[in-house]
Amino acid sequence: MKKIIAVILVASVMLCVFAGGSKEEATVQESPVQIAIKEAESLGWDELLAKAKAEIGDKELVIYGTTSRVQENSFTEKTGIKIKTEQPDDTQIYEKMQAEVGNGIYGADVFVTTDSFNLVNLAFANGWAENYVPAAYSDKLAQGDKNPLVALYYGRLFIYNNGGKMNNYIKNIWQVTEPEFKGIEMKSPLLEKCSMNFLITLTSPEWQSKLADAYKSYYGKEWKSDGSFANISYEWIYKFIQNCSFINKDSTIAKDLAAGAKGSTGFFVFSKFRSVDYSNLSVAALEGVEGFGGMLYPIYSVISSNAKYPYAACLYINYLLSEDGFMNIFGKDMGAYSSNTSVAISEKAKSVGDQDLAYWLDKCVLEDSAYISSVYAQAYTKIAAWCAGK
Amino acid sequence: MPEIILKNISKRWGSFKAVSNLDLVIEDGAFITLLGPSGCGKTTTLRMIAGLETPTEGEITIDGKVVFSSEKGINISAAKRDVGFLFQNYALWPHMTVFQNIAFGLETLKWKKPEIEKRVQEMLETMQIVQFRDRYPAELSGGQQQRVAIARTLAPRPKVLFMDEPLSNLDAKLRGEMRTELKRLHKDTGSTFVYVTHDQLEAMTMATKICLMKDGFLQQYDPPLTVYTLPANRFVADFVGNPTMNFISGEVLSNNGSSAEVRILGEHFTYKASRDFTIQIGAATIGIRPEYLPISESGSLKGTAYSTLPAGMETTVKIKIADTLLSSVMFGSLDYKIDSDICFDIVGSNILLFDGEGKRVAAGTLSKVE
Amino acid sequence: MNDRQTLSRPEKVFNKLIAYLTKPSNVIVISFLIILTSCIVYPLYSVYSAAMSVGQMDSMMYNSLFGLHLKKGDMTFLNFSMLMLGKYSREYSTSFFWKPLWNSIRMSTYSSIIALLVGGIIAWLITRTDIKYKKYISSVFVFPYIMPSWTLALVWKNVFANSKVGTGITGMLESLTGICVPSWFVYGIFPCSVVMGIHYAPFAYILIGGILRNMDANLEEAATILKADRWRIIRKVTLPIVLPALISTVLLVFSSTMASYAVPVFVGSPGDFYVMSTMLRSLYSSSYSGQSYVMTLVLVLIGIGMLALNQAVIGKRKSFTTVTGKSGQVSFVRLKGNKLISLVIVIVLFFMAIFPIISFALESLCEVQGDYSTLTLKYWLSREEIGGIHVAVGKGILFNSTILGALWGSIKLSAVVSLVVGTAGFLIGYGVSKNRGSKLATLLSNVAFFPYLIPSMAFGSIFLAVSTKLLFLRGTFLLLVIVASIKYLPFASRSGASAMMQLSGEIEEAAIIVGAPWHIRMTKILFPIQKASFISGYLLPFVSCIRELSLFILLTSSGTLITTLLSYFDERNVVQMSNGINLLIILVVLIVNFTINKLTGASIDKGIGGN
Repeated sequence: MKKIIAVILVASVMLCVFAGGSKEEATVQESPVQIAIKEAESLGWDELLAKAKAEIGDKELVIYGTTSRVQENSFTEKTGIKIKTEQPDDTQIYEKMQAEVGNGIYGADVFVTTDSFNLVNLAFANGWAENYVPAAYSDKLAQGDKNPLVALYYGRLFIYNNGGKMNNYIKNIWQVTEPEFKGIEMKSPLLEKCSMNFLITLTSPEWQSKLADAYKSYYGKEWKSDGSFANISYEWIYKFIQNCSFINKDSTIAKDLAAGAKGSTGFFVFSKFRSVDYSNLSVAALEGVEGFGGMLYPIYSVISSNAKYPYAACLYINYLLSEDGFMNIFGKDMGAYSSNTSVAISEKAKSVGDQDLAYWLDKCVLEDSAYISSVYAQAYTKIAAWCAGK
Repeated sequence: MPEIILKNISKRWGSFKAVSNLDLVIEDGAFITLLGPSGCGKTTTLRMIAGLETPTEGEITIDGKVVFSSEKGINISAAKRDVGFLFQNYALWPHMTVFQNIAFGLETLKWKKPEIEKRVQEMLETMQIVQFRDRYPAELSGGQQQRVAIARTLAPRPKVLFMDEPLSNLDAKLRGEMRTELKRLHKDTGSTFVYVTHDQLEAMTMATKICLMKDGFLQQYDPPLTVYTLPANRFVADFVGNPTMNFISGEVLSNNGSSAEVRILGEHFTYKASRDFTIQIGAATIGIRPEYLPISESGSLKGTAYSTLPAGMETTVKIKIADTLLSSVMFGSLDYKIDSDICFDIVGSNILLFDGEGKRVAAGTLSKVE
Repeated sequence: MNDRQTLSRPEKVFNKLIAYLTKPSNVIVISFLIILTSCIVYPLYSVYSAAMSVGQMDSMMYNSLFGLHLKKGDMTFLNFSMLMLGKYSREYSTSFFWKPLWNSIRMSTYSSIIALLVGGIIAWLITRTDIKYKKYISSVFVFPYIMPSWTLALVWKNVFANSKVGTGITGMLESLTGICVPSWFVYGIFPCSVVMGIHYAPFAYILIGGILRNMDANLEEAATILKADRWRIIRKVTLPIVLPALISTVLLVFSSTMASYAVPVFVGSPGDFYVMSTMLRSLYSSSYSGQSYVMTLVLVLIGIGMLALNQAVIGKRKSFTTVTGKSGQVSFVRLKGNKLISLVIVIVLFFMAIFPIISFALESLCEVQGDYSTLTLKYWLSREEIGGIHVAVGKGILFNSTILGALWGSIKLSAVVSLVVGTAGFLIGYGVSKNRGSKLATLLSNVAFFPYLIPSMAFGSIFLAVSTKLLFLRGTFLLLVIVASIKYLPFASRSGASAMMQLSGEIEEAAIIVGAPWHIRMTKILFPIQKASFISGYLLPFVSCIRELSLFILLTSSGTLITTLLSYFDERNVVQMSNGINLLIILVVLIVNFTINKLTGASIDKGIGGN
């Protein structure tokens, strides 16, 4: 035992030495990244491109993205700046930020991530990431999309197998809590933060009243608390979770559903349509669902506080917001919507009936980061326990 | 000259004492056997001398050089003690041919190729295994493996050769042959041989000196004939000799100088030794080798034939007398009917007298008091 | 007169120390103990301290839930009390901890029993009966262990899914026979236990078969002479003798199943069946990551318990397993219905071992999934970028520089890791067997087994943290090598030790006596003699490493290893590519296994500890 303790001591002393060496001096001055961002805010594309190229040369811009799409290399084609990407999940990306930026180690320049709660409360609060809004797009972005900067939205929707002929299968959102819908395939909210955020958002007064309206319309009576749930939203959430079947990947769900039987239902990212034969799949929201037809979640793009190439990072975000960038990286298919209101969805998306962002904002639940922050711990824990305990 | 001296050697494993305070001097050129029943510490002793085991205490000197000392913290590795070791299971390396096995030691000694070739050939011839040169150990019989093992051990011409029950895995006939050859080899090489065995016959026939051990303690260290005729105690007397010595418990009635009066087998005897001795009056044991109990019609003692075991050259007769079973060995092939009467004598001057603790106090003659 | 010779105490100690350290086995034991404890104790310590303190997110949650003022890094017992003791609600603790714990225990128990029955029966059939196709059975039976466990789960789903379950995909069984198995058969504890049981059955086969093969047939023959019938012999003679192997199998399978993640996710979660490892993953991703370390600790503790139990049982019964190895002629039991039994086994084995490989191959050749009229080689051979309706795929597998690069990266990593681990295992085996029974040697063999008990995911995350402290390691190949080496050491050291134990001490002593230095004894005597066993010690880490994902995912970027690339294609549903890569991984493993086996006689089963 003594030996083990001795080894631990030696090891920790060593680690302290290493750790000690990497501590940055605390400053109130602006960091180089902040200076660059400030400057980049007002620069046009060409000026920024010149600065970025001068800065990065033939080195690689490192991007961590929770979405696999960041690996598309059209940015390089357009600018000549090489990129290197990693795809951590929405937990790992914050773990990496903490491990790297938090320890003063350069890892990445740009983060493309979901989950406003962790982004604000971890990344911004600890100074691991910086927000950047290009002036050129300022008036094309909704006010709520600017801090943190939303690059685009994804839609996760109720989708069912229509067996070739069925339509308007889900008319009211309360239907999915009914026994006949048992087995809705979904990725566990415990493993997907934006889904958890969606459920938490549902508990807001605004959505309580919307759910109450849908309830009345579906059951023909007012919702009354029987004491088991704090409010109507929790009842819906509880029953919905009980009806779910958790699958670990959206692509598996899409595949299962496309090949599945008539009437089977899933709750997954619309964009997965691109990789399955969707001839038998219907998007409930497009046919009209009372209450809501799914969730819309933002993909944020921010700059690492210790980015090596801040100008190139700013350029990349500029590119994401541009029509070109959106189309090349995300917008080719259905299910992704630029936060840049002047960018419409692609023709291909339109051909399967996809609609513009404004349509979906109306039909879907949008992550409400201010509300989420206000109730996070209680709501999260309650819902998490339901997810784990079903 | 490689004289081996053990001073106060002990070996403990936990609380178990394998060897206790052993002192031993092995003269140069001797053929020593470490003899004893299994678990007596003989193999441990051998391995300690060879350097394969580390003693707990004591000091070992080989050829005037201290190779181990617990006092001084010296422990020279086996490799540097310049010894040979023949293992019980031969320990031939299964992935090497006979030639490679024998040559290995020479290669590590950095001998030149032609010299190795020559020496191995010489050893193959000596051991009469030339034809097996390129075979693998698994393709050889036990006896052949044994010869390879000996060749491998002798090839580097060790001054001291240790052997750990090398013949125990051979059949009786081969064992007999190998004994002869080992004795010959001892003579031819002029090396010191230290040989572990539990077979008293092996020890008797080959050794110049027997070191008999029991429970980690040295019992006797003498030439074989001395051990045979004048064993230090009952244990030694019992262990050496086949058929084993007859032990007759009795009573010493009186002891006077070199003689004593004893009662055994329900009769009174006068015991006379060549030297004065003292023994307590009371329980004692008389030890008589079977060859000192000749059967004859005129024998002064009467018993019955319990069973007869003729072996051709000699016959062992078990005689029952006064609830005691005695063995007698007679030359030639005899047969006595079971339960028939038998007369015999007690002869010879090496009748042994053991005291109550089993220690031999005298050797002498025994005559019946009429 | 002894006075002059007496040395001072420090001198004596020094001399003793020198004498101790001149023995290479002692040096090995000491140095590996130091290396391993620092590589294992530190991670463990960090798990412990993470379990006993709050992270930033945890502290926000706790402060809000319980009205506290914890700061990041504060010591707390909350992780324990909320997870296990119902500090937040009984429901929470039950859902996240007690139910999964109970499920894990049940699943592991069933898996062990299944592995034991399947592996044990096959072992008995192979060694003691005249069953047919022995060669086929014994060589194919290890496949399920070589293949990643989730491939079996995938096959299970593909075979048994039916229109009454889940989204109603028609599986092979239904499309062939119209039979719809019930939902519990497709998802939940049943398939999890069976799949894990089959995955680890080779374990049982190897361990039990090894003993049966070496067991002196006289022992059984003696019973036959005494007119005991076959069943009685098995019950009264054979079973008690293989008991230690049975127990050891149960415990190994139990703790392996405990830590398995992929299978419960594939066929457990859809049936609302959650186990500790899936909950560990959920907690790790949740806002209560501190609780995931509590879970890790519990898993480690269970593993230690299993190990201790194993040690205790094996230690006591060791004398049973000493076998003469002289059982030349075993009289085989003549099976009634031999043909039928053999055939059934061959067919079942086909589904367990060969079918997955074929299905990977077919899927990689189908343009439209499941439609065998659309066979194409383009996903393998296309030199053009494959476009089509899907996302950018790149060139065909055999001409795709990214895939080949990643495959090479994986092979390189696995090769280096197996060299390191195999050699370490060989040395540890040597050190342990030479110091048999000494406290340090026992400690070393236990410490070397320890990484086995830490879930891969936790391991990866711990070393991510370590790498931010030791900057020179960060993101390097070396880091992957270190992490994987430690993770895979257990089996190598086990096989190393068992191979060394089989060598009688005399073999090395015979070389010591003729003055052969240590490195010569190792390279010219010990290694060559047990070559097959030792090389097997190199093979196993290679196999495990090349198919590993969860250990590396935090430590490397996608594209550098074949498994991370696999998940890329999986994510995008490029079925042909992901199936092709699966096939590629299995083929590499099989080819390496086969080649090494033919060249040296080594094989996976020897690596696990069989003979």
